[in-house]
Amino acid sequence: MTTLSPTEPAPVGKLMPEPEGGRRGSSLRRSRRRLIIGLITPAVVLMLLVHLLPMLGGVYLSFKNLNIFTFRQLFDAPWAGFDNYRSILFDTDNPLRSGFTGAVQNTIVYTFWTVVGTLGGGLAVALLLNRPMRGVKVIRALMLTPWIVPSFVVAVLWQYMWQSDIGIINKVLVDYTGILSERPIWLIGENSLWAIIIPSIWRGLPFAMLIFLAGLQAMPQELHEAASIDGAGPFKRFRYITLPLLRPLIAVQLLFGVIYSTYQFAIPYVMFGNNPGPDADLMMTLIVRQSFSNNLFGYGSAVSVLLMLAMLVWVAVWYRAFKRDLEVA
Amino acid sequence: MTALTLTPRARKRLVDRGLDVLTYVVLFVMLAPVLWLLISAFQDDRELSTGAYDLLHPTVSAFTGMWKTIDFERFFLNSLIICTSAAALATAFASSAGYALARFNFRGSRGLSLTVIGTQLIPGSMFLLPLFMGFIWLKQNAGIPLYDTHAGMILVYTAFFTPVAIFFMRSFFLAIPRDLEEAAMVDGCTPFKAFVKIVLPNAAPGLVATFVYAFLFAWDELLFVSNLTQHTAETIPIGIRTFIGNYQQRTAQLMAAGVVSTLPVLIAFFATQRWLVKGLTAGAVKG
Amino acid sequence: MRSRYAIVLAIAAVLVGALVYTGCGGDDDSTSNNSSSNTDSQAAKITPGTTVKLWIMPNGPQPQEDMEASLAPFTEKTGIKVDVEVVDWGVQLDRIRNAAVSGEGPDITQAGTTQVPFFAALGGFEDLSDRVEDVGGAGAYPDGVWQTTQVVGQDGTWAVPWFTEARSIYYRKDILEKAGVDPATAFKDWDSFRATLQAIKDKVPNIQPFGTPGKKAFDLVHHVMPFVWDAGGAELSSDNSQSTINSPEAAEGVDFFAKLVDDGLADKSQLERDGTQVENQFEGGKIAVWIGGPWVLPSADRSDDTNWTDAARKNVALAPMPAGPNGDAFTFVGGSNLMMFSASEHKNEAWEVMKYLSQDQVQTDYAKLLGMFPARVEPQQAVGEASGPNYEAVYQAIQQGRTYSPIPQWAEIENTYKGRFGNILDEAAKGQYSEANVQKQLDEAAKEADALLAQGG
Repeated sequence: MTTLSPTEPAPVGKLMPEPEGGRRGSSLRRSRRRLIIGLITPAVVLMLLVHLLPMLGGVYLSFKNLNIFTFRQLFDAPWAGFDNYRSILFDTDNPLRSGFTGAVQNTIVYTFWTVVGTLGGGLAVALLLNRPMRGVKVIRALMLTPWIVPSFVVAVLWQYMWQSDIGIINKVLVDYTGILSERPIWLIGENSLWAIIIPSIWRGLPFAMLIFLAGLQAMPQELHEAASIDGAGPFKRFRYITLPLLRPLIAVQLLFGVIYSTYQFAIPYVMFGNNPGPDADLMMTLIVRQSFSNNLFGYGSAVSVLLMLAMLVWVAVWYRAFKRDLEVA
Repeated sequence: MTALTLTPRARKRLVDRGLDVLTYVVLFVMLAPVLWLLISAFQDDRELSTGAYDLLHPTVSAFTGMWKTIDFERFFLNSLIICTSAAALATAFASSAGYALARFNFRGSRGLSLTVIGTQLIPGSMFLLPLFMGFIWLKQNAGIPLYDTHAGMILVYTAFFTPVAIFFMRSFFLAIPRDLEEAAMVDGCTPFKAFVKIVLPNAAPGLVATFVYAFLFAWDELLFVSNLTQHTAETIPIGIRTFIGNYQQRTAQLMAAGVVSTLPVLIAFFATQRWLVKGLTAGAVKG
Repeated sequence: MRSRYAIVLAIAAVLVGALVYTGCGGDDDSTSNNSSSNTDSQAAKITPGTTVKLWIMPNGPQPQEDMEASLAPFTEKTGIKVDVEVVDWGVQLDRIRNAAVSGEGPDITQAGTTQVPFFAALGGFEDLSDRVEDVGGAGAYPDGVWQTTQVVGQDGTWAVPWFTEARSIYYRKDILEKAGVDPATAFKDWDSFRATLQAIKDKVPNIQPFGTPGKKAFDLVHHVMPFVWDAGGAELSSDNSQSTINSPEAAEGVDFFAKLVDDGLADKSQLERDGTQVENQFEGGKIAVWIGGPWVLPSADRSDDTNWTDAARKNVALAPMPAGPNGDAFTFVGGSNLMMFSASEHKNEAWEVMKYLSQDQVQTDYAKLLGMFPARVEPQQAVGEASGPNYEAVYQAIQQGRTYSPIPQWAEIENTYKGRFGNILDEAAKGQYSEANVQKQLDEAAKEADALLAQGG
């Protein structure tokens, strides 16, 4: 089994290999060990303090009955056992659950389309830019701009653009080009999920494009040349040469793309506030709303734990599917 | 009527031109929202709230007014201080840990790698309340104020962005040949000194790129700062929402603030673009 | 090997030192720390030169300046400085809650009248029953206003009332004229309300009849609930034990409101906006009728407020809310109170500030700046009777005013209702309005509210 290090090739050899066993190697071993410990300690301490401990705290809180009346007791709030989990998953009568299923559904749809759009669009644009063209370097740099724009600016900008009466998008669609005859409403109703999917794709696409472009440009030309001599057209070459070689990159983008989309918070929150409505409510806005507006902190923690478990399942599934791509010769 | 036949060369040229045009169209579509942001920022507030805009008469009133409407200076300064410090610290911690992972194969290195990736799997909401409570507990029992302080936010951001930075730095270190350090150690240098004096300077582009990458993420962050700050340490993502709200609707100023908020990351990105892109695409380029 | 250890330790020490330094010395917020022993023997002692921290919400276009101007004479007279901070309505609930729980916050905060029970139950606020005689106690305030300082199930007085507002109908006189509607009867009851809007829709182009914000408005519930009340419904049962928002009467009220959207009498695009934006649309002449509070009136007189078109500015008029099928014309009465944090280290000085803001003249002047009404009985009446027909209309509305049950869970229940009302309006905007859909949403709302009620105790 290889180290789970998908984006980097295997270490190019070790600097100070494990000294041979026996008394002679022990002092060398000790000083080597001290160096390693010294190097990794700060990062490890930080991760323990700020990641691991609070995460355990979060899991602990999910078993507690933490609401406005008990909030002041902080960690000493009364114990609730599995009540929170039960009411989320099984208690169909519990009204707080209805938001849960809706948010799960929305998040799945959102993640699916965002990842498809980002990866597919990124690949398409990368193919487009992988040509000798004048100014392609400048174009590539400019193409990265959406990714740099902070996500809260993206949300604020697109919210303004999506307004049904004065927004520029409807103006272009209806007034300027006449593609549509009626002004659709984007910020309310079913379209509201698309109102966040499209900016998410817009923002994520350049990054995927960058990665894929680098992969394309690192591809050995001989393979393509040999294949075209053998009579393979561009589409065949793409399918049998390009795509398989890009698979590791696609795999990584897929993994982190799904995680990032599932945990998306800033764009719906800034665009819609903490209650985006049943059509655009995502898991994170649900959790934040239940925790901080309804003061159901135990419930919010429990949903967070479930979300994390779901992501662990995703990673396991992904690993199964893409294990081969991680092994480096 | 015979169809227009093209020689293969002419066909190729046509296709090429067509793809060129397509590229420019795609570029335009991708940049259009940003262009719109810029255009809107130079409009008049009242006009803009009715959807009217005038391309021929730009005005900078939004840019000058935005500093007065809300306390944007404070938000901007806080963002700068907190994000820069956190990015610098994260880079520092990440370079030492990344070096260890790049050069050494030690017991627990795989565990460490897995843990580092694992941190990315935890939803932010899970940390939020415990961190808040932790801050309060520290204040009440140890007298260390962290809630709504720069230090508290820097601590949180550093911890959050170190894992990502570790992998970044690691790929940069892997690209540096061992010979340099080995030569230095033959000359009597300790490995640690070799790291500091030889490797780090060589990895300078990587350090810069990691710094910018962490800075980009920190600049963006919203969930934690909205709950762990109150006034003193509020950053731009919090402040920018107050342009539209009670008693005001300064759309043009909001757009202008968006432009101003984007400038630092834009500058940081394009200044270090080469190294940053190299770091991001390191995994894509084998060997 | 020793040097390596030393380096690591040194780095760690520097970092910890830096953290502690910036944490302790660097930040200059003068928030109160752990409360020291606050012996009552110093009850009346006031130290000039102390700074009291006050949080207010945006009460007007220039909240900071207005508040500081109002407090300037106080500082001059007593030497107590007041550090004013404006906290947006969108975040104030979270901020105040965090401040109360963490012990880090101001000395005094403004709070919505409907929020006081929630904060009081949370803990962290001072019971002012001992002090409240200084400002005249219960007798100095109208009944309904005084009730907002009390909490069901928790003895004590948790706030001091500050200013009062009530919602009424804003309309454009000129538009009504063009539509051929007589203002005196235009909004008399539900039927004439609809008829007026229909007349505007039919006869006056270029302006939408009515506009209401949707789920983005933090005060959406205040807009819809009067219709519920007028139909005989209520948000909770009279013993506050369960939600009655899905009763037939309540549904009738909500239906009336939602049908306005469904029938095109209310502009759909306004639902994408929050309260202030819709207010600006009225001022900008895009809608003819709107429901709002009295704070809009002063801005019409401010020539530098560029939201108003000239036509709107000259023709704005107010009317009481329309009477429902039972003949009731309830309106939502709200406003703000002042609460003191128990973690405050300057309680006596803070009380002085609150006393000052409760003086008849001071309160009247500040409220007038905002377009609100003072909370105190006599000043309120004085303003109502002597400020012109528009203010008189609001004063009448206050007399027919109603507010929500003062229970701790109300703030959360209001939030739930807001979400559900928002969904109902959204469905109407999508053309999916039906009484069955409305009933479904209200049933869900009632279930959620019941679950929140069950948290108590």
